[in-house]
Amino acid sequence: MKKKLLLIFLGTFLLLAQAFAQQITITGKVTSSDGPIPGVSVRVKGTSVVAQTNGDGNYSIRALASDVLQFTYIGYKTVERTVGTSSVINVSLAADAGNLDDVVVTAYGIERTNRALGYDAQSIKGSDIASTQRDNFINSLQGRVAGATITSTSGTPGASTSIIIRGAVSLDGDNQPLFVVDGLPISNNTFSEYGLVGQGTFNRTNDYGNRGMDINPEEIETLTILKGPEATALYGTQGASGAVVITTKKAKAGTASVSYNNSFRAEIPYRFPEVQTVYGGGAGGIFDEEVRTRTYFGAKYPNRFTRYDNLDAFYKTGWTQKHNASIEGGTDKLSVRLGLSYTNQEGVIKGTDYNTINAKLSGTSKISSKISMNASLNFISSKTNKTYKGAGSPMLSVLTWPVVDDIRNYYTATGDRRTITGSLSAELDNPLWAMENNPNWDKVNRVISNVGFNYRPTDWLNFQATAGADVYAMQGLGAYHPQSYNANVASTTYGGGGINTFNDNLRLFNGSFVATIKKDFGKFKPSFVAGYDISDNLEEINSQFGTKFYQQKFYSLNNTDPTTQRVAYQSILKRKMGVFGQATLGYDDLLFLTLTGRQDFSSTLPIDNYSFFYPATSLSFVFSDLPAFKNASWLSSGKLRASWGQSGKDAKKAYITKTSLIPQTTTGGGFAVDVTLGNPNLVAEFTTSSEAGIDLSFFKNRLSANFSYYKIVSNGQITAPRLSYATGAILEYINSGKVVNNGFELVVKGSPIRNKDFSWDVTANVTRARGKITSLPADQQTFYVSDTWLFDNVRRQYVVGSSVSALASMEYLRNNNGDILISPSNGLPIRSTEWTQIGDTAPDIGIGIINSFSYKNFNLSFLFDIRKGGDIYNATELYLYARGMSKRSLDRETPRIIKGVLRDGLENTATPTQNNIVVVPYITTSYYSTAFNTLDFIEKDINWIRLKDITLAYNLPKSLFARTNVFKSASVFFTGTDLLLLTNYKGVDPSVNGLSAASGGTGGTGIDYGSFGQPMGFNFGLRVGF
Amino acid sequence: MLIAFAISFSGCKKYFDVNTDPATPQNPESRTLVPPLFAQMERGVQWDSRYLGGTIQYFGGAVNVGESHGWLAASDALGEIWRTCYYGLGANISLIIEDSEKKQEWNYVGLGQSLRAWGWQITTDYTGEIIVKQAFEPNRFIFDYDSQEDVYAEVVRLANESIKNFSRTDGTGSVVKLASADLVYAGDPAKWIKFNYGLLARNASSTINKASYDPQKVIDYVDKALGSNADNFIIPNNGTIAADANFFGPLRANLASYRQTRIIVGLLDGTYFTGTAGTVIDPRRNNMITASQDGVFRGTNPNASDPGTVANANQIANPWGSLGSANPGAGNGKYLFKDKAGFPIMTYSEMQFLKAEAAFRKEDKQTAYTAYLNGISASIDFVSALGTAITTAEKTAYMQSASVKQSATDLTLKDIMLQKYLALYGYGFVETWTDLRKYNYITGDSKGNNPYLGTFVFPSAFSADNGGKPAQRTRPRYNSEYIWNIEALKKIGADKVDYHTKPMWFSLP
Repeated sequence: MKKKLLLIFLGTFLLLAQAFAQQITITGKVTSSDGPIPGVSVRVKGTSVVAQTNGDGNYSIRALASDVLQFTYIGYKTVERTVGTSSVINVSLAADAGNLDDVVVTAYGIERTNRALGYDAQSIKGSDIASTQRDNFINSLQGRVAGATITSTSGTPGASTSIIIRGAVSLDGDNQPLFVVDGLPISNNTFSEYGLVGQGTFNRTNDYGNRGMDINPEEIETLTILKGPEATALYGTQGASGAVVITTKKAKAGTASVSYNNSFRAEIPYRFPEVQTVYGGGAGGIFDEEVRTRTYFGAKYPNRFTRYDNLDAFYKTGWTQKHNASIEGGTDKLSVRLGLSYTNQEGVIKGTDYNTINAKLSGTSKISSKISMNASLNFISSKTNKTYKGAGSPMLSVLTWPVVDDIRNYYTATGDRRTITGSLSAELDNPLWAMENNPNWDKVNRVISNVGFNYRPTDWLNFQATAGADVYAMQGLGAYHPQSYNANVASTTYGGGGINTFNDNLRLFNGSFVATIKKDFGKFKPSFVAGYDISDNLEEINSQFGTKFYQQKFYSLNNTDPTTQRVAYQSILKRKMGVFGQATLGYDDLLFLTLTGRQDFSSTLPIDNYSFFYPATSLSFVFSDLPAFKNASWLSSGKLRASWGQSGKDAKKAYITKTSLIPQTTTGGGFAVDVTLGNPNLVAEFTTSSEAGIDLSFFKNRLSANFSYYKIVSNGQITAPRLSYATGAILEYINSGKVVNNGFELVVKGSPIRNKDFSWDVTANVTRARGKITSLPADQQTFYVSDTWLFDNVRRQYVVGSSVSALASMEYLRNNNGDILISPSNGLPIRSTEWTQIGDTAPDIGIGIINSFSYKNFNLSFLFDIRKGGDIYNATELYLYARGMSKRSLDRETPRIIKGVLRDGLENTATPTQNNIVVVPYITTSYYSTAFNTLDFIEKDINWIRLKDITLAYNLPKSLFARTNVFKSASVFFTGTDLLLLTNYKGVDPSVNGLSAASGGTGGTGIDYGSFGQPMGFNFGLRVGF
Repeated sequence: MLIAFAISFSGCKKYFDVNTDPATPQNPESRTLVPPLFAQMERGVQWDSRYLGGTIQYFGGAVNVGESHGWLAASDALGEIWRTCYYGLGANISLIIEDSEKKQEWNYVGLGQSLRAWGWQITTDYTGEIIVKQAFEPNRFIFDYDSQEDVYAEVVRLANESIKNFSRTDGTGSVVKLASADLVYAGDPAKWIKFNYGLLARNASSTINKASYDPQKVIDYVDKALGSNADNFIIPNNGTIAADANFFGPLRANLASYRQTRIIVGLLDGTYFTGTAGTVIDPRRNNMITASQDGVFRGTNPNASDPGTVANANQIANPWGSLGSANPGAGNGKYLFKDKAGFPIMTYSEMQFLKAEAAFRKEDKQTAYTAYLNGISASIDFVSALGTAITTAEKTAYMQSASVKQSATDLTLKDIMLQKYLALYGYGFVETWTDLRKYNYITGDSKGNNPYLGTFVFPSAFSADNGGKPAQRTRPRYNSEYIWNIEALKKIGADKVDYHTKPMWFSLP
């Protein structure tokens, strides 16, 4: 197969024997009202010959006298100039709030004008992403893109971030979009703990970073979110959840230009769970004088006890430094660019940090007027030192540390772990001790390469071949010291101290070949795209586990008892191929009909069902070009669009067409069937999407609006529901279940003020995504995702009619009349053992508002992220409540009678016995520890307004350094991230994930259990160009 | 270019045919699938015995609802035999039969059928109506329940099929091929055939209340079943790490809070055989149970916790022989409650008691008496091997004591059933429960036989949901059936709060 691929590529180049023509070199400068614009694409129209302006806005390109140069840059009106005889062409671009002639990079790097697009595709400038100073650039997208929901797992360094475009469709599978860089997919895997040696906490207490974060935001030129059916039909199975299409900066010709920028950040945590400091350790109101408990149901602390701010001792100010440098230059025949980046981040938790080096070398070569080539090689190396989260985490420990004990004393005189209760197994580790003694890190070395050839035999025919590899080696270690709670508690798997390590090697080969034909016949302007792509993805995970350390505090598998050592091995090979064709039939730049079809082949489906076809179509109608509107001065442009399409999905997991046999450790060894049965009858699942929208702009593009409404129906999902054991196992992969998502996106852009010295631009992105399950797998009544069952009885559970982000729990028992049933023995409510639906973590609406002001040399921009609705499970608060540390338990001395009726056999008669049992929670501590109402901790309808980021930049006047020949440009900036959060949420941060981006469905989004919020970040830095 | 495309597609199918896991086997081989089956059988019985042991009073200490004949809502507790039957054995046995039929390994096929028959038998005896006809059917998500009568018939069919397959001499399934995987009988087809007849004997003896009951059938089956303790079906346990240790051993630490019971103490000191405590001390006593610190053997009453108030004096031992819920540490314990102890699924002793009961009911007292003596003798030998050896003199003394009837004419059904109850202590949980239920605990069978009256007593109160009735069955496993197959469950009434007190088919006339 590989040989055949090679043949195809070779075949392409054998056709290259085409003559060179007479070309001249054109140079010039591209400016706007703000000065020179770097990064403007200068294209010989109708060809793939492209140059970019350098830092001074200068460009150089070779073209024929008859060629037309096209100058495009996002946010500006495209300008076209015929070359003619002039060798210098200077161009001034006018800012544009929304332009039908903007070029949008769609699938496979196919650039299409907005005019022809029958669907919504929103693009963002790389500089807007980079200026937020986020280490994981995906975090900068929240609020910047309509239709994407971004959830960071936590605010610690190297945390993973989940991105879901247009709502989750898959009940328990992966809903993350495809990441495409320069035309080729790259891996955005988040390491899943299912790859470790049999651990039971799958992604609940640890996080490994999503690999998309390896992309250096400074190297992003533009980012486009493809959401619609037609947009993703071209990417096939991989793009069924949408695609994030990134174009990186290309080398610009000209004399070498060097730029450097840095950023220094201070991170300050500013929202903490509140704890009570009044009542001390003990039980039943009896104070434990020596404070030997970690539950706080004792009497009030006597005054003589000193109070310590243990949270303050746990947190620190985080410091980050970042340095980015790039050098680029060359001739129009060959230009190269080197981008370097170094980040050193120390988190706000002692011991957490993230270090990364990112180097990217890229080159563009014009072999002839018809052939060009570009290549890039990106090397990334990073290491993250992490803290555990969730159950047993330092966060929960610091909150339940006695406020009268100094948390900084965490060693005994003999150097052992100091405890409060005197028992290593009875209480969580002191968080500071834990950070020092329970190492938890991962590191990655990664190379992403990309080679593209472009051949353009005539002005209407173009061939583009791209191939690349994404290869990374990830290594991780998580260990518990022999004195750790986790190594001593009864149920431990880490007895005597233990270590879990893994090596995850991924290699992803990609290739694509696309032929484009574009020829105008008078008013008819058809274009055709045909191509195919192939992807060969192999991930191999070796993991190791051992316990009983010989030497304390030495974390290596070699230090464990050999009889406890265990290993696991996974090798996951997925191969996919697709053949696709797209025809766009344009009439008079007015009406565009696009038809797309794709045949996919996938190795993860049974070989008899491994190939499947699906179509898509879209229509774009630029009604503003109709004579009736042509002269309407208020309407600058107007477009109606509609699209419909299907996309097929293969099985996300490999090898599920057969049942796996799992090695057994019982006497005699051997193998037994896995808990999940394979299914040899699986077929591809299909998602049908439809979208309609309108794009309008008014008053010379000073105001524009884009609106899209969509409906996505996903049917016959490949999922593994629990079923009756009579199947022969516990779960089984089957095709079933139906989910309907619908919603809208609205983008409004305006430029209220546009003067010579002062301008104000504002953008609002509005997102609404609603999902509804219309049928559950195997026509069952419920379906739940067991990984989300983090704390107490709350989990992601679906019934028909609920969404993919619904939560279920167990409520208090009630009689037929709806009164709470009270136990006659203790006067406390009785909890049901039945699961009922109790909430939905999906927001009603999300709004991002971006304002940017520029005044002379000052630029100020800021993004407000607003969300309305959606429930959050505050499990951290419940954890504290059940231990007497919650402020909600301060009224414990007040006697009370819980309103309800006694469960004495009369509860459903006409005369139930009203509860008259007085409870003083101070004495009856089970009021807090067991009789709590979980629903009190499902915080309903959470809203927030956050200042996601704010940047103030000052461009130093040229006059300052005009006399030196060293600097060409310089600016200084301040960027603040997460400086303000206004919310009705009582916990730390409602943007939270109780699992990680590795989890399926909607994961642990909206489940807050021992997690860390986003700290405030204050970044200062400068940018200089040499 | 188009030609290049065409070439590439012709090789496509092969290129994509890579969906077999190189890291985890997906092509089953009977040889490797067999050993875990035994561990699963043991797991099912032992896990559920934590509750059932309390109901039948092998275990005491009021540890859980088992002793008050109750159940646990929304819980998988008491559902482990279900799990073993459908999952632990379930698809594994189907794969063995499928693979070995292809390879003509008839002994493997027979093993699969035999263990499936065991699974159906123990699950129906434990749960009543279960899923048999539609079980393991591909693409089915709702599974209807079958009557116990149908399940009984299926056990007979399967056991006979298994006997046929173990009798075959054609094909490729040699003894050597099965030996390494067969942790119990080392591939010996004769022993497997005996085990199958043992299953048939159990099956035929449970139906004493039915018109179809034929005691001669039981006798015939027993005569072809296990012939001595050497034929006992015992699942081995390595006992080196938690995963391969006996669930009842101190390493697994599951029995600390249980206590030995009044009934076992009374059976071992002659109380229930002679009417007077201490008249005849059973030679098995020291191997099976433990005295309090003061030297007195005590046991708990049903659903009562250890009344021992004085440490190191009158506290009652747990099954390991430790006081005050102590764990004696890995490697210790006693009787079948040790890390490395094997777990019996069927013993020669049980077979002889089945025969004694059937012969007695057939009014062939001489045959019954011989089988009765064989049963006791085999049990003493069995227990002897599990602790301090019992001397021939001790054994003879017991056999001639007042606890053992000295002539066929004196023999009563009570003697047979109580000796069987004692012999099956610590392993025959479901079988003993079946006996208790077929004689309707202390009410007696349809013919008026009431062997447990005066020995077995109910707890002072049953669980609230019982409505004053003793437990007759367990529910199908919660996380299998109550969530994922509820419609079918409702049809058999298993959604009712007192479903567990609904008498079994075999208990009814």
